Amino acid sequence: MKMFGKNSISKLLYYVTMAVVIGYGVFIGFVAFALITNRFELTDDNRFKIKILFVDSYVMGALDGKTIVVLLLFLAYYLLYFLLLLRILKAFKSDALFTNSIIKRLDWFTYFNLLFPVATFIGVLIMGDGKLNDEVVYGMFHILIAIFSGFISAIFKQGFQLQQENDLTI
Amino acid sequence: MFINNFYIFEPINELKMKDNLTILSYLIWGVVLLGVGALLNDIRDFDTNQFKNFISWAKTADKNEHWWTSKNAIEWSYYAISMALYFFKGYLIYGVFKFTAIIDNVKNGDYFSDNNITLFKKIGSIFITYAVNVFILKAILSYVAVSRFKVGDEFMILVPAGVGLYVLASIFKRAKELKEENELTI
Repeated sequence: MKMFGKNSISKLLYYVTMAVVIGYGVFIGFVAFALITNRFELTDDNRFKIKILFVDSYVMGALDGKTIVVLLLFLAYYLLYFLLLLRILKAFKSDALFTNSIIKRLDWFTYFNLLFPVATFIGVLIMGDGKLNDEVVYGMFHILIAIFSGFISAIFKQGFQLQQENDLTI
Repeated sequence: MFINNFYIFEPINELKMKDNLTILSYLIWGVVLLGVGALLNDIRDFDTNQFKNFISWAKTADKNEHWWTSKNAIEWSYYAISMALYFFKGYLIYGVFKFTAIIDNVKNGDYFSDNNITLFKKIGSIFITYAVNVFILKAILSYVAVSRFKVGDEFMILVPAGVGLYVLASIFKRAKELKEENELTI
């Protein structure tokens, strides 16, 4: 099977990511709608509990402004994250690979990954408990992806230079 | 952007790239060491706790019971599947470790080589093999242990990542062809 262009694996990855973006968007809309219209259960310790449709799972948190804002920002971050990934895959499914636009998209993806540890740190400060547990692991994971994405971007810059040299020679 | 196109800034960009590669290399080593530590810890826990129970149970097993439905078979399956899971975890760590070879190649200015293309494909295949095998083993384990089966995060992350690495291998291949064309033209 082809890797780029029409009927390629890149195109398949693009549509899978698009499905994730749509599903995730619907999920965020559902959570936001439930919070705005007070359609949630309230537990004894004053926590909201939103049942996720079709799944035996819940979104839970303390019922205060800070928690709700941080939760919605967290969900919005991953929506944007997958949108950026979608833009990269969109560029991959085209025949022209080494272009300036894909380098920019990869750079944006790199910066966005680096934003996670910073945003998490600020989020933990706002939330006030000052404890970093799982966040450290996720932060490291995002830093790793950021550096890898930066590495791929640098490789694409080399490819872009080669492409330009080639085009000029022809 | 304009400044970066000047020839004089090329060595600076090269240096920045090397620095980033060194950081990436250290991070990968960190991930590998953490993975090895976690794996050794899991194996130690398995040996000290579960394996002791298994041996003591085996001594008191009812030998008249049919072997397949017996607790003995279930215990053996559990033991074998757990061992297989540890093996695949080790295999995944080996796959992550292979990234250091790509970084070393790029550091040496060997960007679009056959070696890198092969390495990307190999790591991609390791990720997919790990995810698929762990998926199957966990499904069997949940059947044996009569517990609820859940598709793990590793399957959702590693399969697309593995396919992505195959795509990257093709990108490198395309760049290599471009480079060869360029060298031939000159």
